[in-house]
Amino acid sequence: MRDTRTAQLSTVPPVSRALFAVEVADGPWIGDNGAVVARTGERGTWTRSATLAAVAAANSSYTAAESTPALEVRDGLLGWRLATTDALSWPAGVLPGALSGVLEMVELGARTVANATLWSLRNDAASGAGLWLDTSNAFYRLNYSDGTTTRTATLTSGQPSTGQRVLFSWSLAATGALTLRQSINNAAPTTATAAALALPSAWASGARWRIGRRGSTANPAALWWRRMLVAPGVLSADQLAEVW
Amino acid sequence: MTTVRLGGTTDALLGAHLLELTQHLSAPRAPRAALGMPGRLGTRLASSSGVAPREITLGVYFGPDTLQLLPDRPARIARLESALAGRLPLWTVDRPLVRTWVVCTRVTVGPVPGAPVLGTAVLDAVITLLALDGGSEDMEPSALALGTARTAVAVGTLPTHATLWWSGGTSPRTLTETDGRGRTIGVLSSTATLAAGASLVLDLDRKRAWVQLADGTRPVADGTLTGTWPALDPDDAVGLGLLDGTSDTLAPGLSLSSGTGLLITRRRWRL
Repeated sequence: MRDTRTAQLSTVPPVSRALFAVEVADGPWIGDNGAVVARTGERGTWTRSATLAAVAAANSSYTAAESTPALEVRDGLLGWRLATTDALSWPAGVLPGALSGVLEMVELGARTVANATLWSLRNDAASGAGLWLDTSNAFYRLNYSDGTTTRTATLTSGQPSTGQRVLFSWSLAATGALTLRQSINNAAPTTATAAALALPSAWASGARWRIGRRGSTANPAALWWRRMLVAPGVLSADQLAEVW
Repeated sequence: MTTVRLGGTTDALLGAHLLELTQHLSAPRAPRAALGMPGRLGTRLASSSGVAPREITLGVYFGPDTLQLLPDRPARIARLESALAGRLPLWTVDRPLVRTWVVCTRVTVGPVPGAPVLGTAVLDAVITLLALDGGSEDMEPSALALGTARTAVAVGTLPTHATLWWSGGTSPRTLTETDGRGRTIGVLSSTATLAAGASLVLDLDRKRAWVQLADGTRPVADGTLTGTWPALDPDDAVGLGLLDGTSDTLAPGLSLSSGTGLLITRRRWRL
């Protein structure tokens, strides 16, 4: 006798107390009609202007059509592989203030492409006040702009190579000081900091959370990502793990 | 060592010791009615139409190793309350690959029985969690590439959730489900026309369909469908594959009439 009970597990949205949280394992691509919905409720947009070949599934590899997100299995974990032709973003309702966050990813070669941006809080033009994590072409770096001046915390050791798993955690203090931590393959993190710079009253109009870009077109990066989270306050790695 | 995690909070992060955990390994009641058949002797068993809620009880102890002073109690209690807010996945060390979605319905905090009231700081807390639909699901989804050949789809002890992106091929597209023996048990057909770069997306759980266009828009395609949605039901699996998790060739399978597909699946479990 067939059990007609269908699990309702995904019909009630999760409640996250993060400012912004999106995790591929949640199924953010499902939504009610295919929208890319963050755990925190933002309905995002995603496009890719080309196919993406050799994406790993659990049973073989496949070529993702322009309209198919390149969801990829690595080490038994599901992540979203972004090419430089992917544009993925969510609306950002956040005021400048002390912030912390996490990005969990696998390096796919972006580190050596100057200014390639792993995530950002920036407007379409990539101008004005914002936050972003990009690369000098040697090391990853966290940037904060008040709209006029930019502070940059650049790592000076730790260069992830293709295929390595990287966990970035970062914070922006209420003073505008930056801290960036990078852990490669779960090793002890390396850290970079940047001096304080007073926070603006607002982020640039139209600023969005973006993964793999600095604006609507600027500085795309190829990466496999699994989780991005932003929380209020300057949090330790343990505290960030507790934010859900 | 972490033994329980609720959302992102663990017993270790709370500074608590796990004392009690009940019903987390028990399936909820799923009653079935016995239906009479007009004009015939005997009854037939109805499908289960509802599931009793499952309450999981979590008891923790804040001992003197983490709670020494009475004035520290309010902060510890507030932290516990904060950790229990919202809809949360429950993870336990004895079932590391699955999670159960719960909401907290009651928290009772009090002194440890036998300890002098307001004489020592240590506390007991009993947390009642309501499992939203009683079942559990894999922590991690999986991705399967589909084609015109049959691809087995692993199932747990409840129907597997799946979403299919289907690109290429020609209309009408038919999605065929076969049971563990390879017999056809359902065919779903779509007459949707796909522009270049577009995909037909089928949410097998909600039975919704849309066309994902390359520009990011998503027109609904429910009206293009006829036939039977795949159930990916463990009743359609045979052999030990369901039990040992390795012989998935005995699981139900899917095949496409043409084109290629990406199937994102997550197994679900009665317990």
